[in-house]
Amino acid sequence: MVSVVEVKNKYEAELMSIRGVVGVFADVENNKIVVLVESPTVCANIPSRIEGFPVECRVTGRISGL
Amino acid sequence: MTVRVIAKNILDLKGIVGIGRGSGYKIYVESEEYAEAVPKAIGGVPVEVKVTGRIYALSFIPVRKSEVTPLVGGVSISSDIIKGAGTLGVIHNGKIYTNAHVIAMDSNFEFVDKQVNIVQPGILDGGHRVVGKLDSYIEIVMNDLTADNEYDIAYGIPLVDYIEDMVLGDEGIYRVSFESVTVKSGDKVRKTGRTTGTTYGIVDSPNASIKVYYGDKWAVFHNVVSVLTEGFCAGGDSGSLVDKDGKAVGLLFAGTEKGYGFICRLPEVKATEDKTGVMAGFSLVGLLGLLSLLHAR
Repeated sequence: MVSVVEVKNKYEAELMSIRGVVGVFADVENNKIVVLVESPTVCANIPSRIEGFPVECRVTGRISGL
Repeated sequence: MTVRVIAKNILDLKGIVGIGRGSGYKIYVESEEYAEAVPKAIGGVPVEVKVTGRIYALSFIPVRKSEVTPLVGGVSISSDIIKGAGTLGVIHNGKIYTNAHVIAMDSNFEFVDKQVNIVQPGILDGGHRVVGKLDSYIEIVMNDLTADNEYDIAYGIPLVDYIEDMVLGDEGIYRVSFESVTVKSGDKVRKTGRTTGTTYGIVDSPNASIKVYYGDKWAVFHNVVSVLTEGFCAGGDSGSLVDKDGKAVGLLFAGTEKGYGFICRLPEVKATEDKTGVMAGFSLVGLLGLLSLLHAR
């Protein structure tokens, strides 16, 4: 059975190419993929599930070098 | 026996910095290594050992945006070719650790092609004292979604007195070690930076992939530790050493307006983890990989 990490790795580049997406990681404990975005409106462009795993959209804002 | 009488007998012992009285005696020590030598009881009264670190008169704790001598981690720093300021993370094995974008890039976020001076405090804080030279950095590939960046790290050679592995925290100086450390979601980590001082945050992910903006450019980083705790950091904290239970995790290098922070791991610590079995047999490859990434000035 495919793991959440494998699915995250498979779709990471695609997710990161979505405008406003600033981060992606696999939440192994909760078996879900977390997508970090610049603003709430970006969440509309994020799928709710990928290959059966739930996807959480989390608003962090833009990430910049400090 | 009074605390004062005991103090006269023990305060000249190495590593013991104080004694107090609660339900029993409390003996304060500089570090864990001195804790074992403390007796379990004095005159039948139980003893509790607390690791406080060395105690300094507060008037001697310099402000981190001013000139700090000897150099330690947690203070303002920059190269002399930008108008900003970041944070000196730590000095370890004779090298200054901070971010590449603090001492190895110009104001257009282009890597410098000369051996620039490092000043402390940073230029933004009125710095003009040269305390080191850029030694090497790990290049960051910009504007490429397929890039495999992991580090925003540069190393400098100190030219003034310094103390290794020590960071100037809000409550005094504390020591960090470079031994292997495992980081997972929910762990509490600490950072000390030029702008927000010592703060604590909770790890959200130990291996996120993120997109970081540097002016008009951006770069994708992998294996980043994310700390989604508001107020964890702010501009000028870049380069801060982040630790978990006194063990170095990495350098803070990016953040958001809310003060969420993002940390790149230290190649040296990752190599140690590899050597201790996580990726057995990979340590030499990892070390060679690191050497190939370094750009010596």
